[in-house]
Amino acid sequence: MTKQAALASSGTARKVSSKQLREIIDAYSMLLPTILGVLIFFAIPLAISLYLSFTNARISTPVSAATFVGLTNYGNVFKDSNFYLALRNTLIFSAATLVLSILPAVVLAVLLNEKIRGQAFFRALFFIPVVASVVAISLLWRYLLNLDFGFVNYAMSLVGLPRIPWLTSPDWALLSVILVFSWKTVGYNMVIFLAGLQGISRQLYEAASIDGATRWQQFTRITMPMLSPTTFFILITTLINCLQIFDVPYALGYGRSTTIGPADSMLTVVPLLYREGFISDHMGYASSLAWVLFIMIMGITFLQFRISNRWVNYE
Amino acid sequence: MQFKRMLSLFGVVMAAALVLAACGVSTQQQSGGTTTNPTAAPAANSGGTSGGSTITIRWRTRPSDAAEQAVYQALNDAANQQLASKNIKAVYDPGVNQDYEPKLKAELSAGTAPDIAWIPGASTADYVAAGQLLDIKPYLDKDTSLKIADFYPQPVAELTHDGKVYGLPRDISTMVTYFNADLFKAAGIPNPKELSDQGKWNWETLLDSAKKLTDASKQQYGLGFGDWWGPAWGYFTNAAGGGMFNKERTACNLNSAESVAGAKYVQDLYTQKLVPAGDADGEALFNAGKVGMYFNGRWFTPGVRTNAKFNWDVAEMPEGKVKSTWLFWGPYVINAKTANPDAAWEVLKAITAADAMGKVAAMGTNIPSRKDQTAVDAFLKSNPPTNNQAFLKGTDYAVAEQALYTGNWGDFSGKVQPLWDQMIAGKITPEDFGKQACEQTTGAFTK
Repeated sequence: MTKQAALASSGTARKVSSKQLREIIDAYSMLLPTILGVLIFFAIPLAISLYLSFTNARISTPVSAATFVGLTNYGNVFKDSNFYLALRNTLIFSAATLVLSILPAVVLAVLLNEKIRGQAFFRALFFIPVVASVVAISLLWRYLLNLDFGFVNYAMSLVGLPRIPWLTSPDWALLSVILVFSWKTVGYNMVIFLAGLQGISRQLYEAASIDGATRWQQFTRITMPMLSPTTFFILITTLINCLQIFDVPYALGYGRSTTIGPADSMLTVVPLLYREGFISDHMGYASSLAWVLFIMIMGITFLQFRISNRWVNYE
Repeated sequence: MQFKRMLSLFGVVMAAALVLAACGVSTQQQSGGTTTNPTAAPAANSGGTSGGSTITIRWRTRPSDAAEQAVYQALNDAANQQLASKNIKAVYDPGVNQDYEPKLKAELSAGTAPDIAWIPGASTADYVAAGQLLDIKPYLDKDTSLKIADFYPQPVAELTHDGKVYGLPRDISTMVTYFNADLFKAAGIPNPKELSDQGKWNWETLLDSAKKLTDASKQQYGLGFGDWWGPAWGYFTNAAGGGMFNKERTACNLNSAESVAGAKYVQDLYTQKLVPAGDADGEALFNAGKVGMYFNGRWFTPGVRTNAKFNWDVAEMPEGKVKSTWLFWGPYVINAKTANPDAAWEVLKAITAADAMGKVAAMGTNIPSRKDQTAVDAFLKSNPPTNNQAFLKGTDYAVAEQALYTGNWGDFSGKVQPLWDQMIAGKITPEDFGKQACEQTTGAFTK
């Protein structure tokens, strides 16, 4: 290469690199709001909460006043009877909600995937609770489930059934939370299942029909296996939502006292950490509860992924 | 290319806005105007200002509705007329009703709290322990325009700790028995006021009346009270001769024989279905004419006035082993970090003056915390109920809402309430309630 050619070549390189630099700057300046948003509102608070979980921080005093207490908060989590109560309630709630929000959603989706009259109307009808504000529907259900003047008990009394203390008895309160949350979630799951159903090739059903398969056989041998990736997605997202449940038990069970439902019967892990952090003023302890819950969710989700290759069929 | 540049610029501007939004501090800082040294000795009667600039003092209450908020706003406007000559401007900053305290605590921690705030009496000690309240004793000592003796002594005693005074009581409210006079008339039995006048208003006649008024077929209950410490485990253990704490408030007393007897009395009320379950529902049922008697404070009055379509009145609380009621109270406290303590003191005086309290009392929500005749007269004229005297008579023997300087009230009540719920649901015995409550709350008595 001559000296002239070398100079020309290096000039071109400089030119290209400055263009690339401009593009990088452009790209990052466009990404900046998102990056900063994630950093300021997610990553930094996450790091602070991790730090707080090792301190005796209180909400009523500045973070700088908190002192390091090592693993004391984490030790206290596993000594706290309220944590075990909240954990038990959370697990019962999650298990029941998974069943009550997924099975009806599959049935509804299959039915509304057929060409029936008013298909669009019914799809919209079942989706309405998803769009409604959680607090608004919880307050509405507070009235509907009222022991003395609620519509549910009134309707039950018309057919001779006894009145049920849905929200005022420790035996029934958690079931009320399960029913209200499932009612709200079923519409969302139905829509996701509908999308999954529409991705299944009609040819599979036609071939099965020619081979003499009944509708039930088509459902169990084609629909369900083909829906398994959708079911897996719904299982994971619904379970995470269940483990993090806060709004429904809080709105249904909050009264003048600080218990969540009678005798804390609606207390799940997130309302417990809210109460510890913001009402009882134990922010350090609440942060450790949050991290225990985070690890728990991570563990369960990891387990789900590990088990998934046994039953999820990807085409 | 031009479009891309614009997008980049937009991105940078958005990012800058994000950073500013996240890191910015509320424009409503501790207080506006000039700054004086909070630790400086108070300038008695001086008005707390120097120079010509106006000092802004922000103060907060927890109004339960728009009507109450309007009264405090009017109070603020009236205070400003008095304070104008002192170059002080009071700004009323109504707080949220739900989660009022968590928000206030977070603001105190962040340095954005108002200069003056109302807080619940029982929580006072927790704020004192966190060093968040200004000691107003030096002002009380030097400022002759305000006499602490004009206030009811119980809340003042609760606000006094280690020779310091941490605020002025805004209001008080004894707990009384609201009753539906029409239901009593229909049942042909004397109402609590009549029984009280005859000296026969006690737990026996309460139980008897509750049984006669209860009619399951009409979903009608004889008695109701909220499921929280005040009317529930607080009153019943006190009136049974026991109580929540020992005398020194250094330990739980819910396992004493007297407290357990009080709990047993309540469990029987629930077992016999003489009271509706739940908390707020009881209030709604009383207003709907479905509950004969309801224990509550003065704050219940405006709601009954608006909703009740029957004749009603109030009587003192029934006598158990001893005569007892609560004296609920809440103080106005000055933020320890206020930049203008002298001016905050002036505003505090203005909003706790007798005429100011009279205005709030006239609304019916609470009883003035001052014994001055002006304030008392305004309260007595606030009818219905006819028998407003029942609220005042209770002040003679009421137990003041207790500030737990020897522990953490939130921890204590948070542990006791779920056990109480289990007890009234019949899941545990009253004895177990007392035993477990005292076992589980030992940690609440260490700061």
